[in-house]
Amino acid sequence: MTRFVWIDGRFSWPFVVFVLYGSICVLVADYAWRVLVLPFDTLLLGSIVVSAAGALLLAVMVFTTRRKAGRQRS
Amino acid sequence: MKSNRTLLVQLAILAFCVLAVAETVLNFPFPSPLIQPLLPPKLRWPAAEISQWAEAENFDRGFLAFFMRDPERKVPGGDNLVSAADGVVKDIIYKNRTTYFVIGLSFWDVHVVRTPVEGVVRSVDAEGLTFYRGASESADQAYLKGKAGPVQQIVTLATKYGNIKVRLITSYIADRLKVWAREGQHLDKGQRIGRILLGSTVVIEMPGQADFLVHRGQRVVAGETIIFSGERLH
Repeated sequence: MTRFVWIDGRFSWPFVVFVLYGSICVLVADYAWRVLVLPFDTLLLGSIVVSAAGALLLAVMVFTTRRKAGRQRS
Repeated sequence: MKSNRTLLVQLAILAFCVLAVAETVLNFPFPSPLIQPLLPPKLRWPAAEISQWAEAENFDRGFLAFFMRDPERKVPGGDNLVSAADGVVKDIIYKNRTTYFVIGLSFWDVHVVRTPVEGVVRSVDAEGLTFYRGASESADQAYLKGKAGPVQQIVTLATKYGNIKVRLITSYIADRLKVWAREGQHLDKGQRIGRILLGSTVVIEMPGQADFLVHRGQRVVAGETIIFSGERLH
């Protein structure tokens, strides 16, 4: 678990990207709440679904990149 | 060395993230400065936030710059009256052989008031610099009801349609009106006559009745929207 946050004297990139993604999601959700004037529960549900889908996509991309890098090394 | 540089870049990214979330949380329910430029004016500076600034007499600089804007207007030619202010037509009242054309201004409207028609300034009168009492001339005027102590300046213009008055009204709390027109000054149609420094009302008071081209609830633009067309009011 620690390796997910800190590795070789620096933060791990997936952790940095995850935090960046999270804060961008907060900004986008705040913007959407003001502009779209959606009921709060709809917005919350929508935000969770969109954020989770984005996070999943991000995780798949990281996993695929790492697997390719691992194959090339071996 | 490379690891140190990477760490610095990562710290910068994480600092931005913390700042973004902190700004959102600390400013809530008002928008964070990071998303403010992306929002339309009404959402960028919500009414509740402007009211807070007004009470504290400490306005956001960005809002003040926006509020003080004074765009040029294309004044239409011909025999007509144009709107004196930006805003929404709140009422058109005919009372005692006088028509009161009431325009309500919001915080986000341009607050520069213009002449509805060419004329000479007959007088500039200040009225209601204290709370109105029951006996006051204006206490029973429909457009002043609901205002906590209205303060107004009345510019009377001698025009070809007769004497037309433009009332710049604000509340006792705001009490900030600026009139640039001076007695005896000749003013063209759509020329600037003053500014209200906080959202309020402008009333065009004209003799007689008229068939207006705009209706209640319609948005009008100072110096551009024709509200009446014709050679004379009836």
